[in-house]
Amino acid sequence: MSSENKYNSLERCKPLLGTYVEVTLSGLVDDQSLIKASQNVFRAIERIHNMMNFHDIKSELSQLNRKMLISTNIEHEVSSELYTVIAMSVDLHQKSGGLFDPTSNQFKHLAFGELTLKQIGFLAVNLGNLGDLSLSGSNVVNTKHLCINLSGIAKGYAVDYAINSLPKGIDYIINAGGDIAMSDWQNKAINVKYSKLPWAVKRHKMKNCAVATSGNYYHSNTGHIVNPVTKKNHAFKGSVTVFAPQVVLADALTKVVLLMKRSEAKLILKAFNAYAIRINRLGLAKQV
Amino acid sequence: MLRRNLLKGLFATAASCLLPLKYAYSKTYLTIEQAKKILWPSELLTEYPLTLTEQQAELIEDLSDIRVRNLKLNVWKTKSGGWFIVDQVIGKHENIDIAVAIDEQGKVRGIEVLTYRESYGDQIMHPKWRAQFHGKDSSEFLKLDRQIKNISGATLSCRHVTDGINRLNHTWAQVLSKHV
Repeated sequence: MSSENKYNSLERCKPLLGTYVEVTLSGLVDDQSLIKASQNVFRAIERIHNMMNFHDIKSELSQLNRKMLISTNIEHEVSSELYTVIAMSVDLHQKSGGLFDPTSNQFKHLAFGELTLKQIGFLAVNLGNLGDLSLSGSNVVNTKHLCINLSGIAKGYAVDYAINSLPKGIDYIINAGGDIAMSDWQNKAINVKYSKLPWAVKRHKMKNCAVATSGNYYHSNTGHIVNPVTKKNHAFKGSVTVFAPQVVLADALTKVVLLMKRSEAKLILKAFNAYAIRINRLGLAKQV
Repeated sequence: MLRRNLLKGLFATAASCLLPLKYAYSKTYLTIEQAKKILWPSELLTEYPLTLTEQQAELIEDLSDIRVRNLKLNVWKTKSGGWFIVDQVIGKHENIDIAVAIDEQGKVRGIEVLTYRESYGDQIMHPKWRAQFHGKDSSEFLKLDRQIKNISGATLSCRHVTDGINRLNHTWAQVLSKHV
């Protein structure tokens, strides 16, 4: 950092969203301006984290989940931010034939004081999927009992949302646990991690302003993604990386691309103006 | 089948000779001085040397359920009774320096990651390897230091840092809060 008004840069990292969030800012501004801008970015990310935290019973998402577990066919008003993420999820659920489905059956932490044991038992086997959620104006309506976990894509949305807090003239790279957005992306590259070994990274030119990667190398099982249509564990090794116009979309599409045949994945990537690569355990990359 | 197993074994042996046995990657975000300016922007910080007794360390371990690895605390104090702490947290493969600001009420007002280190190999568990990082700027000592920027990968949990913060909260409650 420097106090003079020349091209300065600042890089900070905080534990947020359950992972590490790196914010790199630069521009023809003084260091105080960069610190202030980075504070705004972290505050914006924290706001989305608090709003969409699945494990926090006080979050807006948890309050919506409680309502959807108790009742059906009632319109629920949600904030514009939560509505945006839900609307994107519903759209991708439809276009992917149900392969993108952030609904969850891990709802017991929400049931305390609200549901009887009998009701919990009933819900455990009768929950709907995202196809049972629709949009009505700025509200959401569930036709079956539901519980949504936006954890993965909320991280991506938090990055998209935080970018709006930045003033013009400041270049940025925001990395939330591997979900990245950057300005001036046409001249930049990223390093894709394809294994838990520290040296296992593959350099790749940015193909859009946002990128996200899914990989299971930090997990002991061979697959950590469940196919929501077949309900089976999908085994894969290596990683899938998607470049897209928004981080939330890139993150969501990694899940879909992992589960789809290559020909189907190509179509859905084209529909969302996105680009994807798969990298195997040996670091060999192939465009999807 | 025997031939395939033999070829696999030969390949693994050759690969292990080529791969570095102990590889370290690190990234420094802020120096201690930079973190002080961010976490306590308008306060003067005075170094406050403190070493935990064995008894205090045991109590903090019992309360937080996290091991206390260093009895010596790197702490600075503000005039208003707030604290700036530099500490180290260790995960399975990560060794991270953090700076934490705690106000006079014991509330965490900010956390910054100063340096993130990742290694593959067993040196992260060795006290001597860890000791070289304690309380220092990373630029002084890393032999293998590779700056890899803009990594997109599977999400790494920050659980170890949050565990470390929990330990520091108990350190404040049991020790620091008594130094007014």
